[in-house]
Formats: sequence, C-alpha cells, structure tokens
Amino acid sequence: MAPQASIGQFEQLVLTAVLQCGRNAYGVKIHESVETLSGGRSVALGAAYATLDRLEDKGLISSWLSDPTPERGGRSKRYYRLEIDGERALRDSVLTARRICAAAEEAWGEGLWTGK
Amino acid sequence: MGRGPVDRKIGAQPPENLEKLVRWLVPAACREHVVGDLNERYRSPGKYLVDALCVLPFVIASQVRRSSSLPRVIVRAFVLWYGAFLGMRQESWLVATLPTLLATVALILRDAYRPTAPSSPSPTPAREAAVDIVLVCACVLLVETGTALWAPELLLSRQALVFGVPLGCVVLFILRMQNPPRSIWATPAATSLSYAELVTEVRGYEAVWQRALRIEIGMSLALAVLAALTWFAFPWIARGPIAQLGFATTAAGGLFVALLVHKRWRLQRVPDGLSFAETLARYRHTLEMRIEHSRTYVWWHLVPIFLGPAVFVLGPFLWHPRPTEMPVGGVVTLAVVIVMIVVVRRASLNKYQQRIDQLGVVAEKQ
Repeated sequence: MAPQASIGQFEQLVLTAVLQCGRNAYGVKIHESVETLSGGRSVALGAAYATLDRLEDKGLISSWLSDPTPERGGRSKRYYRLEIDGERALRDSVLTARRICAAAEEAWGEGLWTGK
Repeated sequence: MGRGPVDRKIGAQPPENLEKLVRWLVPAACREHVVGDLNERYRSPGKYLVDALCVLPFVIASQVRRSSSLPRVIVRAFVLWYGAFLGMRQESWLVATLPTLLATVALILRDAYRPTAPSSPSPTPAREAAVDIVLVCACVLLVETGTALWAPELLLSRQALVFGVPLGCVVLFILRMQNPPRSIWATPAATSLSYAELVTEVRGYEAVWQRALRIEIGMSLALAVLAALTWFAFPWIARGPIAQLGFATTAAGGLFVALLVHKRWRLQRVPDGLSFAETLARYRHTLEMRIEHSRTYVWWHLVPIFLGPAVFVLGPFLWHPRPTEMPVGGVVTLAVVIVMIVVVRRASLNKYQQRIDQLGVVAEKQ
C-alpha cells in the first residue's frame, strides 16, 4: 500500500473543486470552482494546472483526454477524477479542518464567526 | 468569481497566428487541453494573450518538474562543466560555467517540451540523444560567439574545444541513451491500467532496461580493453608499478562488471500471452529484482570500476607520501562522481518503489 500523501491548502481546494465538478471536471470548470471556493479571490489558471499535475503525480487524481470538441477550436478537454487515495486525503483534510474549527470555536466562542 | 465562457461571443475564436504562437509555446504534454481551455476562455485577442502569458510559466515549470530530476540535472551539468568544458583547467570558473548553464537550461527545456507518448519509450533514442548533442554544440557555439565579441577573455581554451567538448558529448550521448529523459511509464503513472496499456508499459520497460544493460556491458568491456591495450601496447605510459597496477585493476574491474551484468542482471522477459494478473505479478517482480540489484550497486559495481582510477589517483602518494603533494583534486573528483552516481541511483530507486506501490493499487483494484 502506498503511503498517505500529504496535501497543502491549495491542493485541498483543487481536490474539492474536482469533487464538486463531478463529471464535468476539466481545466476551466475546475478553475472557476477553485475561485469560488477560495472566496472569490483571483486564482491563476496556470496555478490550477500545476496543482492538478502535482496531484496526479501523487496518485490522488487521474485524468484522460476527451474527444475533440468543436466549440474549443477542435481541442480535447482533459477530464479529472478523484482516485481512492485522493478521496482519503480530502476526507482527512476535512476532518482536520473540523477539529481546528472546533478548537478555535472553543477558544474564541462566537468571536470566531464575527471576527471580534 | 470565475471568468467562464459565459460572456464569450458566439463563434469567437482567437486569431489563427496568435493561437499558433501559443500552441508552439505550450509544452507538448499539456498542449491539447491547455490551448483548448484558453480557446474556451477567449473574449478578445488582448485578453487571450494575457491569459496565455499568465498560464505559460506555470505549465512550463510543471513540465520541467515532471520531466527533469535534480540529481540527473546536476550530473549532466557536472559532465559538461568538468568533462566537456574542462572547468578545472580554465583561467576563470566563469569560462566553463557560461556554456554549462546555457546547455543545461536548453536540455531541461528540451525534456519539458518533449512529447510524452503514453505508449512506448522513445522509438529512436539514438536520434533523440544525437539531437541533444547538437543542442549542446549549438549552445557552445552561441556562447563562444558572444564571448568572442564581448569578452574574449572568457573564451574556452583550445584544449577544451578540441578534446573536452567531443569527449563530453560522447559521455552525454551515452548517458542520455542509457537513461532516456522520457519516463518508462507514462507521466503520471496510472493506477488504472488496461491489459494493452500494461503490456505496452512492460515491453517499454524491458526495451529501456535491455538497452541500459547493453550499454553498461559495452562500456565496461571498452574500459577493460582500453586499459589492457594501453598497458601492453604503450609501455611508456604504463611505466612503474603504480601505473601497471592501475591499468591492471581498471581492466580487471571493467571485465568483472561486464561479466556480472551479463550473468546476474540479465533481464527476464515477461512472457507473451499471460493473463493480466500474471503479467502484473511478473512485471512487479522484475521491478523488485531491479531494486534488489541496485541496492548492491555500490559494492558490486562502483567499487570494481573505480578501484583502478583510485590506484592512479592515490597510488603515487601512498608509494612516496609527501604531505605537500596530496592529490586533493583527484580525490575530490572521484568522490563527487561516486556520490553523484549513488544519488541518481537512489532517486531512480524511489521512482521504482513508487511504481511498484502504484501497481499494487492496480492489483488491488482487480
């Protein structure tokens, strides 16, 4: 069994975006989803590509080329899909985020959400 | 918020020449989908150009990361700086560094822009290695022309141009043939494989490994023959017991390694017509055997090969110890070469282990 790959915050965003886009997870859509997930902040499309490549190398996602589509000048789309290890890594990240959230809520109380 | 294709004019396409330029600049491995995505986001030529310029550094960097490994880049740069441009013998360290830097960057970019066919490894590795050498020579020519015009004191010595560069090119050619820059398995290595993909990967791996073994045997034999010939045919070179011992150990070491590789490291081909599970199991076993062989590489391979050169470097000093004549340069060079080989080997082992783990996932999915 391969050791569990560790993922950073941006990688978590991209993995979530791949999950969110489902069957329509390709470059442009994933990028849009990442921007939405990151609170409307501008994210470079190239950064999304580089992260997708890295996640693929870690075996967390897999990809394949579709048939060429006329609306893109006859170019193919590269679709991405979460692999089992990717789901596991994302689930671990979510659980960690929950624990952080609970600890912060305990320390700051309602101030966590209001920023006071 | 995402700038999707919503506000795109119907039927709007980027100007043909602009798209051609972008296609040319995007590395082949990601060209199809990146150019397609940029096309989908097209709103105006200016926006398209800005989009493309923002994407390019990321995709090039990503392909460089995928296609080059740091230890190999360092080895290549060392071969060029030390072997081809004779960096230690130039008047300034900058003389050999300039062409080394340019050639190294050019080779890194060439690897990044190389198409990564998921099928077999390079169909003509010799041709690809030859193109690499031509690229290195072009870099040398470029640097030499520039230095001749603006800084003649930084020109490479005649010795480097006449002997170093051809010899360095031969070494580089052999290195590139033995370790083809394109990965044996498609990048990234997939954890879901069809039977046809598995067989293609196995045959590709076997072809690369077979070639590497042949080169290894050929080089070891050439070293043995060269040492023996020099010893017998040119006795004035092999004068004195140290030199004779050096030539003898070099010849014996080369012969030993050639025989060892031929007898013990011979590739066991995965037979045709096996089932998916059997092919996978045999292939994993072959990769595990390779890791096993590589673990003993230092003792069974490096020590015999480097014993002769070590006698040449250390022998005279050990014969008549004089603290003022310690062969520091020679010892450091030998140590650097050995360390680099070990580091490259280790990086390669990690990749093999990673692939074995991925194939384990493939087997679990079956």
